[in-house]
Amino acid sequence: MELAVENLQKDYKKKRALDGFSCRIQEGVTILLGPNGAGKSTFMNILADLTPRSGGCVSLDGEDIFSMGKKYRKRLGYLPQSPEFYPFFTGRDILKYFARLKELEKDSYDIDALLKSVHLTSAADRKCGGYSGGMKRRLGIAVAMLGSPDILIMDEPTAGLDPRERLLFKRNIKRMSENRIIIMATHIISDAEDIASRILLLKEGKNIGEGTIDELTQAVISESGQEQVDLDDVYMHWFGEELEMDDVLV
Amino acid sequence: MFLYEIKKYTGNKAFWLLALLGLVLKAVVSWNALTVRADFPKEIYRDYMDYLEGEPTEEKSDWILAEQARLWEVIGLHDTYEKMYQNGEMTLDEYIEKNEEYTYARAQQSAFDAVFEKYTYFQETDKRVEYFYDLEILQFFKASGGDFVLICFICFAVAMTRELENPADTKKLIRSMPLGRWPFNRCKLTGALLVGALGSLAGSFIDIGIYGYRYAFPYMNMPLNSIARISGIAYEVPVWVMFVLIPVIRLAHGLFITALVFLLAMLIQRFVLTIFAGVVIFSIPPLLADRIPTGLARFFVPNMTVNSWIAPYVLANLAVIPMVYLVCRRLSEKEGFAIPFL
Repeated sequence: MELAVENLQKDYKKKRALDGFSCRIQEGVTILLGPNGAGKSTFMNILADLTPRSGGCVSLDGEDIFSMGKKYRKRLGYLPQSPEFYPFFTGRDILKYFARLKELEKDSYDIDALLKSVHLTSAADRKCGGYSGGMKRRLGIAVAMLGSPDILIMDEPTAGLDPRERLLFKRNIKRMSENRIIIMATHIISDAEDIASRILLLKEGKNIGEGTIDELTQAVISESGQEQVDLDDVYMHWFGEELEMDDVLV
Repeated sequence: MFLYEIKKYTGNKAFWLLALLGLVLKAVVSWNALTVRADFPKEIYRDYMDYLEGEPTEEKSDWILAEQARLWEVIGLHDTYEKMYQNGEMTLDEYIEKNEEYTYARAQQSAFDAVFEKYTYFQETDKRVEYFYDLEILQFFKASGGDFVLICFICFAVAMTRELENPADTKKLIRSMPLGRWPFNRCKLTGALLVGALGSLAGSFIDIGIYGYRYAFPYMNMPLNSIARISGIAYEVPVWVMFVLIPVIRLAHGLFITALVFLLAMLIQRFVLTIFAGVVIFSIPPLLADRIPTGLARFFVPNMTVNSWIAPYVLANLAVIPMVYLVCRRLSEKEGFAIPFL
Protein backbone atom coordinates (compact mmCIF):
# COMPACT_ATOMS: atom_id res chain seq x y z
CA MET A 1 0.00 0.00 0.00
CA GLU A 2 1.40 3.38 -0.98
CA LEU A 3 0.19 6.97 -0.94
CA ALA A 4 1.88 8.91 -3.71
CA VAL A 5 1.84 12.67 -3.44
CA GLU A 6 2.84 14.49 -6.61
CA ASN A 7 3.54 18.20 -6.82
CA LEU A 8 0.79 19.06 -4.33
CA GLN A 9 -0.11 22.70 -4.11
CA LYS A 10 -2.48 24.61 -1.87
CA ASP A 11 -3.08 28.33 -2.11
CA TYR A 12 -5.03 30.36 0.38
CA LYS A 13 -5.92 33.98 -0.30
CA LYS A 14 -2.64 35.48 0.77
CA LYS A 15 -0.48 32.44 1.33
CA ARG A 16 0.82 29.37 -0.44
CA ALA A 17 0.53 26.65 2.18
CA LEU A 18 1.88 23.80 0.05
CA ASP A 19 4.32 24.48 -2.72
CA GLY A 20 4.92 21.57 -5.06
CA PHE A 21 4.98 19.03 -2.25
CA SER A 22 5.85 15.50 -3.32
CA CYS A 23 6.50 12.32 -1.36
CA ARG A 24 5.70 8.64 -1.18
CA ILE A 25 4.27 7.22 2.00
CA GLN A 26 4.36 3.50 2.65
CA GLU A 27 3.06 1.31 5.44
CA GLY A 28 4.42 2.23 8.84
CA VAL A 29 4.41 5.41 10.89
CA THR A 30 5.32 8.56 8.99
CA ILE A 31 5.87 11.55 11.20
CA LEU A 32 5.51 15.07 9.86
CA LEU A 33 7.94 17.46 11.46
CA GLY A 34 8.10 21.15 10.93
CA PRO A 35 7.48 24.46 12.63
CA ASN A 36 4.05 26.05 12.94
CA GLY A 37 2.79 27.21 9.54
CA ALA A 38 4.98 24.72 7.65
CA GLY A 39 1.87 23.20 6.01
CA LYS A 40 1.50 20.01 8.09
CA SER A 41 -2.17 20.46 8.88
CA THR A 42 -3.00 21.54 5.34
CA PHE A 43 -1.20 18.49 4.02
CA MET A 44 -3.13 16.20 6.36
CA ASN A 45 -6.44 17.91 5.54
CA ILE A 46 -5.83 17.28 1.86
CA LEU A 47 -4.85 13.68 2.54
CA ALA A 48 -8.08 13.28 4.53
CA ASP A 49 -10.06 14.73 1.58
CA LEU A 50 -11.23 17.63 3.71
CA THR A 51 -9.64 20.53 1.89
CA PRO A 52 -9.61 21.00 -1.86
CA ARG A 53 -6.14 21.19 -3.36
CA SER A 54 -5.04 23.91 -5.74
CA GLY A 55 -2.89 21.58 -7.76
CA GLY A 56 -1.08 18.25 -7.89
CA CYS A 57 -2.44 14.83 -7.12
CA VAL A 58 -2.55 12.20 -4.42
CA SER A 59 -3.08 8.56 -5.25
CA LEU A 60 -3.52 5.43 -3.21
CA ASP A 61 -1.99 2.46 -5.02
CA GLY A 62 -2.32 4.36 -8.27
CA GLU A 63 -5.94 5.48 -7.76
CA ASP A 64 -6.70 9.17 -7.31
CA ILE A 65 -8.03 9.56 -3.75
CA PHE A 66 -10.26 12.52 -4.63
CA SER A 67 -12.19 10.54 -7.20
CA MET A 68 -12.41 7.56 -4.83
CA GLY A 69 -14.62 9.65 -2.46
CA LYS A 70 -16.50 7.45 0.00
CA LYS A 71 -14.46 4.40 -1.00
CA TYR A 72 -11.32 6.20 0.14
CA ARG A 73 -12.89 7.55 3.33
CA LYS A 74 -13.96 4.02 4.25
CA ARG A 75 -10.28 3.13 4.48
CA LEU A 76 -9.42 6.28 6.42
CA GLY A 77 -9.17 7.10 10.11
CA TYR A 78 -8.69 10.75 10.91
CA LEU A 79 -8.06 12.62 14.14
CA PRO A 80 -8.06 16.41 13.99
CA GLN A 81 -6.29 18.50 16.61
CA SER A 82 -9.15 19.20 18.98
CA PRO A 83 -12.50 17.69 18.06
CA GLU A 84 -15.45 18.37 20.34
CA PHE A 85 -17.96 15.62 21.00
CA TYR A 86 -21.68 15.82 21.78
CA PRO A 87 -21.54 16.62 25.51
CA PHE A 88 -24.62 14.59 26.43
CA PHE A 89 -23.48 11.44 24.58
CA THR A 90 -21.50 8.89 26.57
CA GLY A 91 -18.13 7.74 25.29
CA ARG A 92 -19.76 4.48 24.21
CA ASP A 93 -22.52 6.40 22.35
CA ILE A 94 -19.89 8.43 20.52
CA LEU A 95 -18.08 5.32 19.33
CA LYS A 96 -21.34 3.66 18.27
CA TYR A 97 -22.41 6.81 16.44
CA PHE A 98 -19.14 7.23 14.59
CA ALA A 99 -19.16 3.51 13.78
CA ARG A 100 -22.46 4.17 12.00
CA LEU A 101 -20.93 7.19 10.22
CA LYS A 102 -18.06 4.92 9.19
CA GLU A 103 -20.62 2.46 7.86
CA LEU A 104 -19.13 -0.35 9.93
CA GLU A 105 -20.94 -3.64 10.44
CA LYS A 106 -21.73 -4.33 14.08
CA ASP A 107 -19.47 -7.36 14.25
CA SER A 108 -16.52 -5.57 12.61
CA TYR A 109 -15.52 -3.58 15.65
CA ASP A 110 -15.26 -4.10 19.39
CA ILE A 111 -16.11 -0.97 21.33
CA ASP A 112 -15.03 -2.40 24.68
CA ALA A 113 -11.62 -3.32 23.31
CA LEU A 114 -11.23 0.12 21.76
CA LEU A 115 -12.21 1.82 25.00
CA LYS A 116 -9.76 -0.39 26.85
CA SER A 117 -6.98 0.45 24.40
CA VAL A 118 -7.38 4.16 25.15
CA HIS A 119 -7.90 3.55 28.83
CA LEU A 120 -11.50 4.79 28.91
CA THR A 121 -13.31 1.66 30.10
CA SER A 122 -14.32 3.14 33.43
CA ALA A 123 -15.59 6.33 31.77
CA ALA A 124 -17.35 4.56 28.91
CA ASP A 125 -20.83 5.27 30.19
CA ARG A 126 -20.17 8.77 31.43
CA LYS A 127 -21.26 11.77 29.39
CA CYS A 128 -18.51 13.36 27.29
CA GLY A 129 -19.36 16.79 28.68
CA GLY A 130 -17.61 15.70 31.88
CA TYR A 131 -14.48 14.39 30.15
CA SER A 132 -11.14 16.10 30.67
CA GLY A 133 -9.14 17.36 27.67
CA GLY A 134 -6.96 14.23 27.76
CA MET A 135 -9.99 11.94 27.89
CA LYS A 136 -11.54 13.68 24.89
CA ARG A 137 -8.25 13.27 23.08
CA ARG A 138 -8.19 9.55 23.85
CA LEU A 139 -11.80 9.23 22.73
CA GLY A 140 -10.81 10.96 19.49
CA ILE A 141 -8.01 8.43 19.04
CA ALA A 142 -10.51 5.60 19.58
CA VAL A 143 -12.83 7.16 16.98
CA ALA A 144 -9.94 7.39 14.50
CA MET A 145 -9.05 3.75 15.15
CA LEU A 146 -12.64 2.53 14.69
CA GLY A 147 -12.79 -0.22 12.12
CA SER A 148 -8.98 -0.56 11.97
CA PRO A 149 -8.55 1.76 8.98
CA ASP A 150 -5.81 1.21 6.39
CA ILE A 151 -4.76 4.84 6.58
CA LEU A 152 -4.64 6.67 9.87
CA ILE A 153 -4.03 10.43 9.84
CA MET A 154 -3.57 12.14 13.19
CA ASP A 155 -2.84 15.76 13.92
CA GLU A 156 -0.82 16.03 17.14
CA PRO A 157 -2.51 13.03 18.78
CA THR A 158 -0.34 13.04 21.90
CA ALA A 159 -0.83 16.70 22.78
CA GLY A 160 -2.58 16.89 26.15
CA LEU A 161 -1.96 13.25 27.08
CA ASP A 162 -0.18 12.44 30.34
CA PRO A 163 3.05 10.34 30.15
CA ARG A 164 1.26 7.06 30.85
CA GLU A 165 -1.38 7.74 28.20
CA ARG A 166 1.31 8.74 25.71
CA LEU A 167 3.15 5.51 26.35
CA LEU A 168 -0.03 3.53 25.87
CA PHE A 169 -0.82 5.42 22.69
CA LYS A 170 2.64 4.85 21.25
CA ARG A 171 2.43 1.13 21.98
CA ASN A 172 -0.91 0.96 20.21
CA ILE A 173 0.41 2.86 17.22
CA LYS A 174 3.49 0.66 16.96
CA ARG A 175 1.31 -2.44 17.13
CA MET A 176 -1.04 -1.08 14.47
CA SER A 177 1.62 0.20 12.11
CA GLU A 178 2.59 -3.15 10.62
CA ASN A 179 0.18 -3.23 7.73
CA ARG A 180 -1.23 0.25 7.53
CA ILE A 181 -0.17 3.77 6.71
CA ILE A 182 -0.06 6.00 9.76
CA ILE A 183 0.63 9.69 9.28
CA MET A 184 1.11 11.84 12.34
CA ALA A 185 2.05 15.44 12.91
CA THR A 186 3.71 16.17 16.21
CA HIS A 187 5.88 18.73 17.94
CA ILE A 188 7.06 16.20 20.50
CA ILE A 189 10.37 14.93 19.15
CA SER A 190 10.61 12.04 21.60
CA ASP A 191 7.31 10.66 20.30
CA ALA A 192 8.68 10.77 16.80
CA GLU A 193 11.88 9.02 17.92
CA ASP A 194 9.90 6.25 19.59
CA ILE A 195 7.51 5.34 16.84
CA ALA A 196 8.53 6.82 13.50
CA SER A 197 9.30 4.50 10.63
CA ARG A 198 9.99 7.53 8.47
CA ILE A 199 10.09 11.25 9.01
CA LEU A 200 8.98 13.96 6.60
CA LEU A 201 10.40 17.42 7.14
CA LEU A 202 8.20 20.29 6.02
CA LYS A 203 9.17 23.89 5.69
CA GLU A 204 7.18 26.63 4.00
CA GLY A 205 5.00 24.09 2.27
CA LYS A 206 7.90 22.13 0.82
CA ASN A 207 9.33 18.70 1.49
CA ILE A 208 12.85 19.56 2.59
CA GLY A 209 13.92 16.12 3.65
CA GLU A 210 12.66 12.64 4.39
CA GLY A 211 13.94 9.29 5.55
CA THR A 212 14.34 7.07 8.57
CA ILE A 213 15.74 8.55 11.76
CA ASP A 214 19.11 6.94 10.97
CA GLU A 215 19.16 8.39 7.47
CA LEU A 216 18.32 11.87 8.70
CA THR A 217 20.85 11.82 11.55
CA GLN A 218 23.58 10.50 9.24
CA ALA A 219 22.85 13.32 6.83
CA VAL A 220 23.26 15.87 9.60
CA ILE A 221 26.45 14.18 10.86
CA SER A 222 28.01 14.32 7.42
CA GLU A 223 26.97 17.94 6.93
CA SER A 224 27.86 19.30 10.38
CA GLY A 225 30.74 17.04 11.36
CA GLN A 226 29.20 16.37 14.77
CA GLU A 227 29.96 12.95 16.30
CA GLN A 228 26.63 12.20 17.88
CA VAL A 229 23.32 13.48 16.61
CA ASP A 230 19.75 12.76 17.69
CA LEU A 231 16.40 13.82 16.26
CA ASP A 232 16.43 17.04 18.29
CA ASP A 233 19.63 17.97 16.50
CA VAL A 234 18.11 17.09 13.16
CA TYR A 235 15.19 19.34 13.96
CA MET A 236 17.45 22.17 15.04
CA HIS A 237 19.60 21.65 11.99
CA TRP A 238 16.69 22.23 9.67
CA PHE A 239 14.47 24.58 11.62
CA GLY A 240 16.50 26.13 14.40
CA GLU A 241 18.56 28.64 12.42
CA GLU A 242 16.75 31.58 13.94
CA LEU A 243 17.00 30.30 17.48
CA GLU A 244 19.81 31.26 19.84
CA MET A 245 20.26 28.14 21.92
CA ASP A 246 22.01 30.02 24.73
CA ASP A 247 18.99 32.26 25.13
CA VAL A 248 16.71 29.27 25.37
CA LEU A 249 18.83 27.43 27.91
CA VAL A 250 19.10 30.47 30.19
CA MET B 1 -28.01 7.24 12.43
CA PHE B 2 -31.39 8.93 12.48
CA LEU B 3 -32.00 7.84 16.08
CA TYR B 4 -28.71 9.43 17.09
CA GLU B 5 -29.83 12.58 15.33
CA ILE B 6 -32.98 12.61 17.45
CA LYS B 7 -30.85 11.99 20.52
CA LYS B 8 -28.91 15.17 19.73
CA TYR B 9 -32.16 16.99 20.46
CA THR B 10 -33.66 14.88 23.22
CA GLY B 11 -30.39 14.34 25.08
CA ASN B 12 -29.90 18.07 25.44
CA LYS B 13 -31.43 19.60 28.57
CA ALA B 14 -31.48 23.00 26.86
CA PHE B 15 -33.80 21.54 24.22
CA TRP B 16 -36.33 20.40 26.82
CA LEU B 17 -36.14 23.76 28.55
CA LEU B 18 -36.72 25.47 25.23
CA ALA B 19 -39.65 23.16 24.43
CA LEU B 20 -41.23 23.74 27.85
CA LEU B 21 -40.79 27.49 27.58
CA GLY B 22 -42.21 27.43 24.05
CA LEU B 23 -45.27 25.43 25.11
CA VAL B 24 -46.01 27.70 28.08
CA LEU B 25 -45.53 30.84 26.01
CA LYS B 26 -47.65 29.42 23.20
CA ALA B 27 -50.42 28.55 25.68
CA VAL B 28 -50.42 32.08 27.12
CA VAL B 29 -50.42 33.71 23.68
CA SER B 30 -53.10 31.35 22.36
CA TRP B 31 -55.34 31.88 25.41
CA ASN B 32 -55.28 35.57 24.63
CA ALA B 33 -55.59 35.14 20.85
CA LEU B 34 -58.61 32.85 21.20
CA THR B 35 -60.55 35.35 23.27
CA VAL B 36 -63.42 36.49 21.09
CA ARG B 37 -63.26 40.17 20.34
CA ALA B 38 -66.03 41.99 18.52
CA ASP B 39 -66.92 45.65 18.13
CA PHE B 40 -70.54 44.86 19.04
CA PRO B 41 -72.15 43.17 22.08
CA LYS B 42 -71.44 39.45 21.68
CA GLU B 43 -74.37 38.40 23.84
CA ILE B 44 -76.88 40.25 21.69
CA TYR B 45 -75.37 38.71 18.57
CA ARG B 46 -75.56 35.30 20.24
CA ASP B 47 -79.26 35.87 21.07
CA TYR B 48 -79.96 36.73 17.44
CA MET B 49 -78.08 33.72 16.14
CA ASP B 50 -79.66 31.36 18.67
CA TYR B 51 -83.05 32.58 17.54
CA LEU B 52 -82.19 32.20 13.86
CA GLU B 53 -80.16 28.99 14.18
CA GLY B 54 -80.63 26.57 11.30
CA GLU B 55 -81.18 26.82 7.59
CA PRO B 56 -82.31 30.15 6.16
CA THR B 57 -86.05 30.23 5.47
CA GLU B 58 -88.53 32.75 4.17
CA GLU B 59 -89.81 33.28 7.71
CA LYS B 60 -86.34 34.01 9.00
CA SER B 61 -85.69 36.43 6.17
CA ASP B 62 -88.95 38.20 6.88
CA TRP B 63 -88.09 38.34 10.56
CA ILE B 64 -84.68 39.86 9.83
CA LEU B 65 -86.18 42.54 7.61
CA ALA B 66 -88.82 43.26 10.22
CA GLU B 67 -86.21 43.47 12.96
CA GLN B 68 -84.17 45.86 10.86
CA ALA B 69 -87.23 48.06 10.35
CA ARG B 70 -87.99 47.94 14.07
CA LEU B 71 -84.48 48.96 15.03
CA TRP B 72 -84.44 51.79 12.52
CA GLU B 73 -87.77 52.96 13.85
CA VAL B 74 -86.64 52.96 17.49
CA ILE B 75 -83.39 54.69 16.63
CA GLY B 76 -85.11 57.12 14.25
CA LEU B 77 -87.66 58.16 16.90
CA HIS B 78 -84.97 59.16 19.36
CA ASP B 79 -84.77 62.75 18.11
CA THR B 80 -88.55 63.04 18.15
CA TYR B 81 -88.75 61.84 21.77
CA GLU B 82 -86.01 64.22 22.76
CA LYS B 83 -87.91 67.16 21.27
CA MET B 84 -91.13 65.95 22.92
CA TYR B 85 -89.38 65.83 26.27
CA GLN B 86 -87.87 69.27 25.74
CA ASN B 87 -91.30 70.62 24.74
CA GLY B 88 -92.85 69.08 27.84
CA GLU B 89 -94.94 66.61 25.84
CA MET B 90 -93.28 63.71 27.68
CA THR B 91 -92.54 63.11 31.35
CA LEU B 92 -89.02 62.42 32.59
CA ASP B 93 -89.91 58.78 33.39
CA GLU B 94 -91.31 58.27 29.89
CA TYR B 95 -88.24 59.92 28.39
CA ILE B 96 -85.88 57.73 30.45
CA GLU B 97 -87.79 54.64 29.35
CA LYS B 98 -87.62 55.67 25.67
CA ASN B 99 -83.95 56.56 26.01
CA GLU B 100 -83.18 53.14 27.45
CA GLU B 101 -85.06 51.57 24.54
CA TYR B 102 -82.99 53.70 22.17
CA THR B 103 -79.68 52.81 23.82
CA TYR B 104 -80.51 49.10 23.74
CA ALA B 105 -81.62 49.39 20.11
CA ARG B 106 -78.29 51.02 19.23
CA ALA B 107 -76.49 48.11 20.83
CA GLN B 108 -78.77 45.68 19.02
CA GLN B 109 -78.21 47.55 15.79
CA SER B 110 -74.44 47.09 15.98
CA ALA B 111 -74.86 43.35 16.54
CA PHE B 112 -77.66 43.20 14.00
CA ASP B 113 -75.36 44.66 11.34
CA ALA B 114 -73.35 41.44 11.55
CA VAL B 115 -76.56 39.41 11.29
CA PHE B 116 -77.71 41.45 8.33
CA GLU B 117 -74.35 41.07 6.63
CA LYS B 118 -74.77 37.32 7.01
CA TYR B 119 -78.35 37.53 5.70
CA THR B 120 -77.16 39.45 2.63
CA TYR B 121 -74.39 36.92 2.04
CA PHE B 122 -76.87 34.05 2.41
CA GLN B 123 -79.14 35.69 -0.16
CA GLU B 124 -76.30 35.86 -2.65
CA THR B 125 -74.62 32.51 -2.18
CA ASP B 126 -75.71 29.33 -3.86
CA LYS B 127 -73.89 27.15 -1.33
CA ARG B 128 -75.44 25.33 1.59
CA VAL B 129 -75.42 27.67 4.59
CA GLU B 130 -76.96 27.85 8.05
CA TYR B 131 -77.33 30.43 10.78
CA PHE B 132 -75.33 29.74 13.94
CA TYR B 133 -73.21 31.61 16.47
CA ASP B 134 -69.85 31.67 14.69
CA LEU B 135 -67.73 34.28 16.52
CA GLU B 136 -65.66 31.70 18.42
CA ILE B 137 -65.02 29.63 15.31
CA LEU B 138 -64.10 32.74 13.39
CA GLN B 139 -61.68 33.69 16.15
CA PHE B 140 -60.05 30.27 15.89
CA PHE B 141 -59.67 30.68 12.14
CA LYS B 142 -58.07 34.07 12.32
CA ALA B 143 -55.96 33.51 15.44
CA SER B 144 -52.36 33.11 14.36
CA GLY B 145 -51.14 33.91 17.86
CA GLY B 146 -48.11 31.94 18.88
CA ASP B 147 -46.69 31.44 15.40
CA PHE B 148 -43.81 33.66 16.42
CA VAL B 149 -43.17 31.29 19.33
CA LEU B 150 -43.00 28.42 16.85
CA ILE B 151 -40.57 30.35 14.65
CA CYS B 152 -38.33 31.10 17.64
CA PHE B 153 -38.52 27.50 18.88
CA ILE B 154 -37.52 26.09 15.49
CA CYS B 155 -34.72 28.62 15.00
CA PHE B 156 -33.27 27.89 18.44
CA ALA B 157 -33.69 24.10 18.33
CA VAL B 158 -32.22 23.66 14.85
CA ALA B 159 -29.37 26.16 15.30
CA MET B 160 -28.56 24.78 18.77
CA THR B 161 -28.19 21.23 17.48
CA ARG B 162 -26.23 22.33 14.44
CA GLU B 163 -23.95 24.34 16.74
CA LEU B 164 -22.70 21.08 18.30
CA GLU B 165 -20.99 20.31 15.01
CA ASN B 166 -19.79 23.81 14.16
CA PRO B 167 -16.32 23.63 15.77
CA ALA B 168 -13.92 23.30 12.83
CA ASP B 169 -12.24 20.11 14.06
CA THR B 170 -15.54 18.40 14.83
CA LYS B 171 -16.74 19.20 11.33
CA LYS B 172 -13.50 17.78 9.92
CA LEU B 173 -13.88 14.58 11.92
CA ILE B 174 -17.44 14.09 10.67
CA ARG B 175 -16.58 14.96 7.08
CA SER B 176 -13.75 12.43 7.10
CA MET B 177 -16.29 9.64 7.65
CA PRO B 178 -17.76 7.68 4.71
CA LEU B 179 -21.27 8.83 5.63
CA GLY B 180 -20.14 12.19 7.02
CA ARG B 181 -21.31 14.35 4.17
CA TRP B 182 -24.69 14.18 2.47
CA PRO B 183 -26.03 11.09 4.35
CA PHE B 184 -25.12 12.82 7.63
CA ASN B 185 -26.79 16.07 6.57
CA ARG B 186 -29.80 14.24 5.20
CA CYS B 187 -30.31 12.66 8.62
CA LYS B 188 -29.88 16.05 10.22
CA LEU B 189 -32.44 17.61 7.89
CA THR B 190 -34.92 14.79 8.54
CA GLY B 191 -34.39 15.09 12.30
CA ALA B 192 -34.88 18.85 12.14
CA LEU B 193 -38.04 18.45 10.05
CA LEU B 194 -39.40 15.99 12.62
CA VAL B 195 -38.72 18.45 15.45
CA GLY B 196 -40.29 21.28 13.41
CA ALA B 197 -43.33 19.12 12.65
CA LEU B 198 -43.78 18.10 16.29
CA GLY B 199 -43.39 21.71 17.42
CA SER B 200 -45.97 22.81 14.89
CA LEU B 201 -48.42 20.04 15.81
CA ALA B 202 -47.92 20.74 19.53
CA GLY B 203 -48.81 24.38 18.84
CA SER B 204 -51.96 23.37 16.98
CA PHE B 205 -52.98 20.93 19.72
CA ILE B 206 -52.58 23.69 22.29
CA ASP B 207 -54.86 25.94 20.22
CA ILE B 208 -57.44 23.20 19.77
CA GLY B 209 -57.15 22.21 23.45
CA ILE B 210 -57.70 25.78 24.63
CA TYR B 211 -60.56 26.18 22.19
CA GLY B 212 -62.18 22.97 23.42
CA TYR B 213 -61.70 23.95 27.06
CA ARG B 214 -63.21 27.39 26.57
CA TYR B 215 -65.90 26.79 23.97
CA ALA B 216 -66.38 22.99 23.79
CA PHE B 217 -66.52 22.66 19.98
CA PRO B 218 -70.10 23.70 19.21
CA TYR B 219 -71.50 23.79 15.64
CA MET B 220 -68.79 21.52 14.23
CA ASN B 221 -71.17 19.98 11.71
CA MET B 222 -72.50 23.27 10.38
CA PRO B 223 -71.59 24.09 6.77
CA LEU B 224 -68.30 25.94 6.59
CA ASN B 225 -69.59 28.25 3.87
CA SER B 226 -71.93 29.80 6.44
CA ILE B 227 -68.97 31.90 7.54
CA ALA B 228 -68.74 34.68 4.98
CA ARG B 229 -65.04 35.16 5.59
CA ILE B 230 -64.32 31.70 4.27
CA SER B 231 -66.63 32.00 1.34
CA GLY B 232 -63.77 31.30 -1.05
CA ILE B 233 -63.83 27.63 -0.08
CA ALA B 234 -65.14 25.82 -3.10
CA TYR B 235 -66.19 22.68 -1.28
CA GLU B 236 -69.24 22.21 0.87
CA VAL B 237 -67.65 20.83 3.99
CA PRO B 238 -68.55 21.05 7.67
CA VAL B 239 -66.72 23.36 10.08
CA TRP B 240 -64.69 20.55 11.65
CA VAL B 241 -62.78 20.06 8.37
CA MET B 242 -61.20 23.45 8.96
CA PHE B 243 -60.14 22.38 12.44
CA VAL B 244 -58.17 19.63 10.69
CA LEU B 245 -56.97 21.75 7.79
CA ILE B 246 -55.52 24.55 9.92
CA PRO B 247 -53.08 22.23 11.76
CA VAL B 248 -52.14 20.85 8.32
CA ILE B 249 -51.36 24.38 7.07
CA ARG B 250 -49.42 25.09 10.24
CA LEU B 251 -47.56 21.82 9.77
CA ALA B 252 -46.59 22.81 6.23
CA HIS B 253 -45.47 26.15 7.55
CA GLY B 254 -43.51 24.54 10.38
CA LEU B 255 -41.72 22.30 7.87
CA PHE B 256 -41.08 25.27 5.63
CA ILE B 257 -39.52 27.29 8.45
CA THR B 258 -37.45 24.31 9.59
CA ALA B 259 -36.09 23.66 6.11
CA LEU B 260 -35.09 27.29 5.65
CA VAL B 261 -33.53 27.57 9.11
CA PHE B 262 -31.61 24.36 8.46
CA LEU B 263 -30.25 25.85 5.25
CA LEU B 264 -29.34 29.06 7.09
CA ALA B 265 -27.58 27.07 9.82
CA MET B 266 -25.62 25.24 7.17
CA LEU B 267 -24.69 28.40 5.32
CA ILE B 268 -23.93 30.65 8.27
CA GLN B 269 -22.43 28.05 10.64
CA ARG B 270 -22.84 30.41 13.58
CA PHE B 271 -25.42 29.86 16.33
CA VAL B 272 -26.33 33.45 17.13
CA LEU B 273 -26.24 34.64 13.51
CA THR B 274 -28.47 31.77 12.41
CA ILE B 275 -31.09 32.57 15.04
CA PHE B 276 -30.91 36.25 14.25
CA ALA B 277 -31.20 35.68 10.49
CA GLY B 278 -34.05 33.18 10.95
CA VAL B 279 -36.10 35.38 13.25
CA VAL B 280 -35.53 38.43 11.05
CA ILE B 281 -36.50 36.61 7.85
CA PHE B 282 -39.73 35.32 9.35
CA SER B 283 -40.60 38.44 11.35
CA ILE B 284 -40.17 41.18 8.80
CA PRO B 285 -43.12 40.22 6.55
CA PRO B 286 -45.79 40.41 9.28
CA LEU B 287 -44.23 43.55 10.75
CA LEU B 288 -44.31 45.22 7.36
CA ALA B 289 -47.53 43.54 6.34
CA ASP B 290 -49.12 46.81 5.28
CA ARG B 291 -46.21 47.77 3.06
CA ILE B 292 -45.35 44.56 1.29
CA PRO B 293 -47.49 42.41 -0.98
CA THR B 294 -49.87 40.33 1.10
CA GLY B 295 -48.96 37.21 -0.84
CA LEU B 296 -45.33 37.56 0.18
CA ALA B 297 -46.22 38.15 3.82
CA ARG B 298 -48.44 35.09 3.80
CA PHE B 299 -45.74 33.03 2.19
CA PHE B 300 -43.58 33.49 5.26
CA VAL B 301 -46.19 33.66 7.99
CA PRO B 302 -49.47 31.79 7.90
CA ASN B 303 -52.43 33.98 8.43
CA MET B 304 -55.32 31.85 9.53
CA THR B 305 -57.71 33.83 7.40
CA VAL B 306 -58.52 30.94 5.23
CA ASN B 307 -59.79 31.10 1.72
CA SER B 308 -59.03 29.86 -1.74
CA TRP B 309 -55.31 30.60 -1.62
CA ILE B 310 -54.77 27.80 0.90
CA ALA B 311 -53.73 25.19 -1.64
CA PRO B 312 -51.13 27.36 -3.43
CA TYR B 313 -49.81 28.49 -0.06
CA VAL B 314 -49.36 24.95 1.26
CA LEU B 315 -47.83 23.81 -2.02
CA ALA B 316 -45.47 26.80 -2.13
CA ASN B 317 -44.40 26.06 1.45
CA LEU B 318 -43.80 22.40 0.79
CA ALA B 319 -42.02 23.08 -2.50
CA VAL B 320 -39.31 24.86 -0.51
CA ILE B 321 -38.31 21.61 1.20
CA PRO B 322 -37.07 19.80 -1.94
CA MET B 323 -35.25 22.97 -2.93
CA VAL B 324 -33.53 23.16 0.47
CA TYR B 325 -32.86 19.42 0.17
CA LEU B 326 -31.03 19.91 -3.12
CA VAL B 327 -29.06 22.96 -1.97
CA CYS B 328 -28.02 21.22 1.27
CA ARG B 329 -26.96 18.19 -0.71
CA ARG B 330 -24.80 20.30 -2.96
CA LEU B 331 -23.30 22.14 0.00
CA SER B 332 -22.58 19.03 2.04
CA GLU B 333 -20.88 17.22 -0.83
CA LYS B 334 -18.86 20.22 -1.94
CA GLU B 335 -15.30 19.83 -0.77
CA GLY B 336 -14.22 22.12 1.99
CA PHE B 337 -17.46 24.06 1.93
CA ALA B 338 -17.27 27.16 4.06
CA ILE B 339 -18.50 30.73 3.95
CA PRO B 340 -15.24 32.64 4.02
CA PHE B 341 -16.61 36.07 4.96
CA LEU B 342 -18.30 34.82 8.12
